This record gives sequence, structure tokens and C-alpha cells, in this order.
Amino acid sequence: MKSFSAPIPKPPFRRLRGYAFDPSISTQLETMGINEIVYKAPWEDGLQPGPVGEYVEVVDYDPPSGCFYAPVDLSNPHLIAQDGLAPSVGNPQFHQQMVYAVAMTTIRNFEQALGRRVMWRSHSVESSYGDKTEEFVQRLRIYPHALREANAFYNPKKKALLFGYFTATPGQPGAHLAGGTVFSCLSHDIIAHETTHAILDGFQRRFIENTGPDALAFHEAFSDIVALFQHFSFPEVLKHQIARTRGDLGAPNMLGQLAQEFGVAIGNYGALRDAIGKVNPQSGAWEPLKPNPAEFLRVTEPHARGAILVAAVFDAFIAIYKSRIADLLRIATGGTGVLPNGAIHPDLVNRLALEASRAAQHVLMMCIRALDYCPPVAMTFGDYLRALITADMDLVPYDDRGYRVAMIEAFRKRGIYPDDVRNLAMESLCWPSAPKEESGFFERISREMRYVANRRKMFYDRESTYNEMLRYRIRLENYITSNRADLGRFAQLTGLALDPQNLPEGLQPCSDGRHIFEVGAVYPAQRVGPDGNLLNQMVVTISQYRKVRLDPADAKSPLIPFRGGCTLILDLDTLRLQYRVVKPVTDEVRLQKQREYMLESVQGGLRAAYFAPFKDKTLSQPFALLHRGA
Amino acid sequence: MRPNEEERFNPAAKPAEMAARAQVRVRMYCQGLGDCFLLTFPRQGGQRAEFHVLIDCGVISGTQNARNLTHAVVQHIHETTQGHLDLVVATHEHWDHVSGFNQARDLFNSFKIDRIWLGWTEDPKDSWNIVKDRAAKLEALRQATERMSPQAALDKAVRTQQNSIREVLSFFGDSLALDAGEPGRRTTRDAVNYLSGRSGSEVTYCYPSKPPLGLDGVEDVRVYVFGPPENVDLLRMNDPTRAGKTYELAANSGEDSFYAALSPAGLDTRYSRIKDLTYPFEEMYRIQEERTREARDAKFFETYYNFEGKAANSWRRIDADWLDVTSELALNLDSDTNNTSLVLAFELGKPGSGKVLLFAADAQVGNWLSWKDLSWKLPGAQSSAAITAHQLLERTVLYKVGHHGSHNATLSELGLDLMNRDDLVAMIPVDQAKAEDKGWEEMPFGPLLEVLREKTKGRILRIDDPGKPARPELMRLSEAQWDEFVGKLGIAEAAIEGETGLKKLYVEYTIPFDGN
Repeated sequence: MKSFSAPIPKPPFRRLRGYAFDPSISTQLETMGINEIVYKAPWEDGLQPGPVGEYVEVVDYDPPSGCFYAPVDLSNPHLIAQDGLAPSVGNPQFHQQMVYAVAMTTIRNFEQALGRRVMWRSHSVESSYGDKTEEFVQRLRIYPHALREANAFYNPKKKALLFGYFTATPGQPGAHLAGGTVFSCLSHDIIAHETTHAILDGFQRRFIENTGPDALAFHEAFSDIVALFQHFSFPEVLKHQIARTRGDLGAPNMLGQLAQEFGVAIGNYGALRDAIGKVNPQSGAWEPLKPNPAEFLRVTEPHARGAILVAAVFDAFIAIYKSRIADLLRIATGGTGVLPNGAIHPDLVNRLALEASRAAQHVLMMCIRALDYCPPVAMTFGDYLRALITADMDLVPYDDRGYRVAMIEAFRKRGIYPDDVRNLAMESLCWPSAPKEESGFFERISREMRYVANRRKMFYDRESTYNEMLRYRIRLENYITSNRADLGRFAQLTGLALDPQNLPEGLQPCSDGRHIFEVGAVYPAQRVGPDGNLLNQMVVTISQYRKVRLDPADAKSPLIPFRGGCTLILDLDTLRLQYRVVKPVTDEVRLQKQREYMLESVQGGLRAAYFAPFKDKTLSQPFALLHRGA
Repeated sequence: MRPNEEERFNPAAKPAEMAARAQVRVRMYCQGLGDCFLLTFPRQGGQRAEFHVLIDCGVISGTQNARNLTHAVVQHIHETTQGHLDLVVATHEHWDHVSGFNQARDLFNSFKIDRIWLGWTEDPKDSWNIVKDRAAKLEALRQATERMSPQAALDKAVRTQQNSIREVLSFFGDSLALDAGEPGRRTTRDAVNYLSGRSGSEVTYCYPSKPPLGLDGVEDVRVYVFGPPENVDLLRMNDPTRAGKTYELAANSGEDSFYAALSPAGLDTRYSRIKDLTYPFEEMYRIQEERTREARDAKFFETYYNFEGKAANSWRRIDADWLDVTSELALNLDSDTNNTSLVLAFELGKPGSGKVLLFAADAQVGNWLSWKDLSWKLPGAQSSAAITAHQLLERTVLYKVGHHGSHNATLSELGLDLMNRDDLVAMIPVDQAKAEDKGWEEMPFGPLLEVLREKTKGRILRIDDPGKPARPELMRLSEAQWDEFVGKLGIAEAAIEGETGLKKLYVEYTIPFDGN
């Protein structure tokens, strides 16, 4: 009999050591014990030196120093056996490892939440004839030591993350850092934040256009939410903090304070968490900030607005955490809610840390999943709340832990309300579907999509997926336009303006001038809910745009873009349109609001005075300007 | 060229009249967008009847016909003062305050200048070496701007940025932004060095912590030094809206690394000395660009970065991205320099009760904020009470508005809010058309102008007023009061080479020490 050796299963993860907190923060975090955690990056066969893999390529070129640093080979068996290089501030190869580990962790969280592979934004190439083609970008490029400044940003043109570093030199008046170099590439939060920007950009949506106070704010706030909750999803990070806390274990203070401390290192990242709380100058203790709904109406500056969103989601997380540990507290205190003197039992610490990390992971998943349920343009925070609720209702029919209630309550307390919603009941917040009789058109589209989604190519090779989806976008555009009979009803349900006899003023052609709308993206989404329910869906975004005068009464007023569109969620099993998220381009009320917002955007100061005609650069480097606090 | 003067209103008070009634004449010259003020005080002792103070002499770079305009103005100053300036003040190292000392150098050489006052930040004994640092930073920024050229050739946005940075740096007399017809290439440093190195002139470096200064032979006038602040945190505080001190300090610490990257090693500058410290890793890890071919991982660099030729992924290179922050740093340098402004308050009459003239140069937030802690005891004063800067602000009757009326050079709370006298007059050395040409849309800043109008009840003098200031629509003053104000003004026009028609040469305002 022939002998048979069982195949060795592929590991699901590559374990890589990294820092839990930025090692250059010289605060009490240093006394928190071990600053090392093990990141679990999805396993990649044949990972090349760099590291260069399926999703990212780390190229360690340092222009201000005029040199390179040798690429690390994480496939070296010695490194695999030791969970990678030991954390070291002075070894550039460790920095490459850390950046890779955190970026891949972030990517994995997105893939898990969205049920599909992460794609980067395509690269626009202009041919000599002047027409543009979109090229697939396989890997996000990461430069761990690209700049000499206290900053890091995503460059959308280059599909690259650039991290900065700087050395605080002694003897400098006003220097508050204790000497040594600060590397933004060693901060988990910064890496996760920037990777999120890149992933969002890959959605091919117009998140960045400054059409309203929520637009710019959302991108930043969302990236910070991902960084924050991903960080909290490591129980080790929380254990020490929990063990240190005496008294009211259910208090949100310690987690809120921790959230802020992570962000304080390089200033900007701390600013977005300011709305969570601050140290009371009299008592010296950290306290959460009381939510003030009136504030949300008043504040328009992107950072401040974003901070409110971050604080709202954080509030929801705390509520969820509290509900999860309620029984543990009862058990531990015998119902009194007060712990006996002395150190907290280590088992209890572990359990609490575990619950907090689980709650964080769930909130993270909720927040990412909601992206698919957002309108393709001009999103507001209210829209995002609706997306959160709808997405969660879809995946988790029985919300016994009250996650959705926690979210709604947190947003309500901060004054974030969606437009056009009667009340904050879950049914009202959920995006509408389409009546059964109307589903014919969508049934046909869904059937086409199902055929496409079932092909194995889709989920195997990202580049083929990309090309397939690109082809499909064009097919869908043609299909919609050629279906004259159903067009009217389709237009009504989706809010698109498709009747050639009755187009709104200033509507522009898209897609090489052949259509008056553009199918922005088509993606499959296959997820499994906690109750074992399977979701097999397709997300389609369609948008249109108009060019209108900033001031309708003034013929010489500049032209501004006004966008509209819809997101459609199709269920490929029942062939029905499940949800439609509609932002009509004919909505004059929204247009008026946008006009007001743009007129009000007064920029003062030296920067505007010198760099006002600077609009091109603003569009290609929006994150840089945001981060530099202009 | 002798200007052809035509004095349309009350002629400037003659010297005899000046001594008879104690009054000071403040003359704002109108060479363009820039400061040039001649103050004339009555003198009791000595041979001459008047004491002349020149505060700054400059016009913004890129002004058309700057040389002739400046010459006309300086020539006129020569005539008024008979070639003898008792005191010259240079408030800070910016082109629109000191260009005249370069452009009209030949004329200035013919003056006798008794004293020169500069801010303490100019003192070569200053241990913080602010001036040296500034020069090193400026050089580094100029280099950085030039390094952007290859990228600028390909990318229009980068080209625009490069030009904007050059504009900012032109405040230092950037050699790349030459004024047409200017002989040689001179910088603001040259101008200030000319003054501080002038033989026959005594240089004083002014400190707010020192007692107030006097003017030789002029009784009843004290000059208090408000700025530059002697507190380094305030010196670096430029923008009231900057979020969070932490960010600013971290960012400031980071600047050193950037500057060091641009400075060659081996020079005697701070950045050169610390250059080695700013490398993030030990030498053994660094693979120099030129030596990538020999490195073990040569193929990796070749594939992913490829220094020669066009690689498929060359659009992902980041050779000049790190220079992006140059714009931010150039603005910081500009603001920092503004903040080192020498701010002077001239107190007329008896100490503690007299009128005050405030010349705030281009002081920004930190400078203004530092005033709240300032106080001086007068030597041999009867009362032991001290005079504070805020008290002086409350008695201000003439305010020379900072930075041509931009938003960040006049503090409201703890600043303008304290100036509440009925007879307050503001002088703004602004030319709005010229500012708009340069792309500065809010100069003077609308809301600031509103507040000034209210406080001065319309008594605002600007360089770009066509002649007599226009009577404000909402009259808070009676006709008689307005006429009285106008009666104290003097305006002169002249024909200047290169200009068409008659151009306003100056507007002056005479303030009696006592009464109205």
C-alpha cells in the first residue's frame, strides 16, 4: 500500500511583532508594561522582500536623507519562527515589518466586513490623444520614511502612503520631546488611519469633494474611527489599563482617556478625539465631555465636526461595552457594584479586556459595513447613521445586545439627525426598498449580476475582478439606457434624471459622452451573519452631475459641480432590489444648501492669501492640507 | 528729481509754531504698500528746533517703479529734515519695511543719522541667535524651492506652489524676485546691516524689560518698548486660530530635521552642526542613492524605484514630495519675523496721563499677548505705581495698524478692545489695489476695518485715499468735529518720474500734546 502524507494546511496568519503604542510618547503609557503585541497579518504565499505582497509594496526610500534602507525579507524562516523581527526603533527593517503588519490587519478587517477583496483606486493615464484610461493598481505603495515632518498622508495620485519622521534636537528653545526621533510609521493609529484613506479612495467614490461640512469631515473621522477601534480590538492593549483602574469598572473614563492618549502623539490625530473628553483643569482627572446637540448645528470646521462623529461612535461603543460586562460586574461584586479592596482578580481583568476588545471589533465591523449602504455622493452624517442601521439590520436580524439602539442613541445625543426622516425608530431610519410589483427591472439586472458573481474568476484574482467589474459597469450603463420601456419607473425609484425630454439644468454627460449618468462601481458582497445567515448581494452606485452657477442670479458667478445619484443593493438570491439610497440630482433644496455652504466658506489668513489660487494642488493633495492644519 | 509740491490744505506747521505749542506731526509717506513714517517732535534743548524720527522705509517687492517712488520719498525726507535724522527705527526684517535703505542707499548715505533703534532680536549678543537661524532657514528654504524645479517642469500645480513660495520669500528681498532696475541683488539683511553698521550712528537694541527710552532734547516724551517679546513661546506664537499648542510645538521641533536635510555638512550653522543627529538611523543602515547599484538589493531598488530611465512605476516616485512642507515653513518664517517686530509706544506729556502713539509694526499674536505682563517704573517718579502696557493702550490716540490691516496683526481682546478714546485715529499703510494684484483678497480685513471705523468714528487715514479722507456716510461726528479733524491734516502731491500725473506723496496728522 502506498503511503500517504497528509497535506500541511496553510497558516491563516503571519504573526508579526509590533509596538502597541507609539514608543516615542513619553507619557504614562510607558509605565504600562510591555509595549509589544503580535499582529496577525493574513498569510501570503511567496511574500517578497520589501515586503512586497499581493496588496502592498513597502519601498523604503528616504529622500531627505538621500538614501535607501534594505528591504526586509519576512519569508526568511528565521523570521517566521520568531514572529518577525523584535521591535526596535533603530532598525529600519522592523519599521517595514510594522507598517506591513498594521496595513494588512486593516485590509483584513475591511475584507471581513465588506465581504470582498480590497481594491485600490485605479491610475488615470492620459494617452497622447488626450483620452484617459484607468489602469488597475495591484499594490498600495508604502514609504515608511518619506518626509521630515510630524505628519503622514495618503497621496491619491501616487496611490502611496508617505510617513514622516523627525528628530527633536537638544538645546532648542521650546522643544518638549525628550530627544530622539519620532516616527509616524511606528504608530498603529497613524498607519491604520492612512491605510483607511487609501481603501476608501478605492471605492471610486467622490468622498473628497468639498460640497458640504460633512464631506471632508467624514473621510477624516471615519479613518480615525477605524484606527481607534482596530487598536482597541487587541485585548492586551486594554489589560494593563483595566488592571490599573480602581473603583467603578464600568466607567468609560479609562477607555476614553486611552483613546485620546493614543492620538496625542503628533497632535492632529489627537484633535479628532477631543470631543470624547478632556482633563478637568481643577481636578486633574480626565472626564468625558457632555454631548451637546446644539454644537453640531454650529460647528462647520471639518476637524471639529469630525470629532463629534468620532465621539458619537465612541459613546455607542461604551454603551455596548457596559451592557456586555453587566453580568460580569454583578458576579464579581456580588451585586453591590463595588469591588473589594486590593488588586482586581486577573481573571476578571482578562474577561473585561476581552469583552471590550470584542465590542470594539463589532463596532469596527458595523462602521465599515455601513460604507456600502451610503449614497455615492454628498454624504452627510445623518446618511451615515441610516447606513449603519440598515447594514446592521441586514446582517444581524436579532440585535439582542442592543447595538443599533446604542448607535441611534449616541447620534441623537450629539444632535446628528438624518434629513427627511420622521423619527429615529429603526424602521424609519432603514433605507427604503422597492415595492414588489416594481421589481421586474431589478430582477433582470440581478440575474445578470448573479451570473457574473458566480464565476470563479471574480474572487480569485484581483486584477481579473477589477477588469470584470469594469466591463460590467459599461454593460450596465448600456443596459439601462437601452431599456426605454422601464426607464421611467427606474428613474423614479432611483431618483436619477433619465428622461431626455426633461433634463435638469446643467446636466452633464458622463462616460465618454454616451450617457447622462455614470455607473461608478459594481461590487459583489458575500457575508455571513452571526446567526449563520448568508448574504449574497451586489452593490451598485450610479451618479450624475450638473454644472450650475454658484449664484443663480448672477450670470458671471463661477460654475460649481452639483452631484446626485443612488446606491442600489441587490439581493442575488431573491433577485430583488433590497435597498435604494437616493440623492436626486434634481433636489433643489439640497442644491441651495450646497450653494450656501460654498459661499460661506471664507478662508482668511496668510495661507489663503498666498495659496488661494492653489486649487489644483488642493484636489490632488487634500489630505496633506487637512493634516497640516491649514 | 525735485518733487513739485502742492500743498492743498493747512500747510505743515513751521518749526517756530511747533515749539510754541507742543505737538507732534506724524507723516505717513505714500510710496506704495509699505511703511514709512516720519515723526517730528518739538525740541527744547540744542541747536535744532525739531527732532525727527523715521520709522521704517520700504515698499512691497514687485511694486512698479519702486526705485523712483522710494527716491522721491527719501528726497523729501531729506528736505524736511535738512539731511539730519535724529533717530531711525527699523522694526523688522521685511522688504516692505526696509527696502528703502537699499533702493535709496545713495540718498541715505548723505544723511546724518544720530541714533538707530532695532529690536533686541537683532542683537549679535542674543544667545538665541534668532538672526543667524533666520538666515540659515531662509537659505534652506530657497534651496528647497529650487529643488522643486524638476517636478515643477512636469506638474503645473507644483509650479504654482513654487511661485507662491517665491512670493513669500520675496519679503526677505529674495534674489529671485528682482525689482526692475534694481542695481545688484540686495536682501533685507543687507538693509539692516547697513543701519547697524553705519559709522557715526549709535545703535540701541530695544528690550521691553528695560526702562522706557527718551529722545534727546525732547521734553515730555517717553518711548516704551512693547515688543519683541522676551518669552520664546510668545515669540513663536503667530496664529490665534492654530489648534492646540502641542501640535505647534511638535511641529516646531520637527522643523530642525527638515532644515538640516537641506544644509550641507561642515558649515558653521546650527543646521549643519546637527545634520548628523537628524539622520533617523545609524550609518550602517543607510544605502546612499549613488551606491544602490552595488548594494545587495540592487535589483529591488531597480524594480521599484529605478533611478535611471523610465520605469513603469516612475509615477509613484516621491523625490520632491518631502519639499511640500516648504510652503508651510515659508509662511512660518514670515510670521515669526513679523512677530519679532519692534513695537513702540510714544507717550506725550506727563507720564501716566498723556496721549500715546502706538506703532505696532507687523506684530502678530504672541507679540501682542506679551504686552499684558509689561510694566515700567519711572526713575524718580513720585508715585510707586507702575505704568502698564494696557494702560498705555487705553490712552492711544494714534494707532499705526499692523501689517496693512490684515487679520492676524491686530489683536481684538487685549488689544484693539482697549483703545477706547474718543479722539482715536488710525493710520493704515495699505494700498488695496496693490494688495489685490498680489492676490491678497482681504487686505485690509473687512471686519477689522469695521471695528476701526467705529472706534475712530471714521477717522482713518490710508495710503490709497485719493486725497482728503472721505467723510463717512454714517456720521458719528458733527460736521464741526469732522472739519476740525481734517484741519489737522496735511496732504501733499508730487510729480514723480515714471508716474503719470500727480501722485499723493504723504498724508500727515498733527497731534497736540494737550487738549485738542
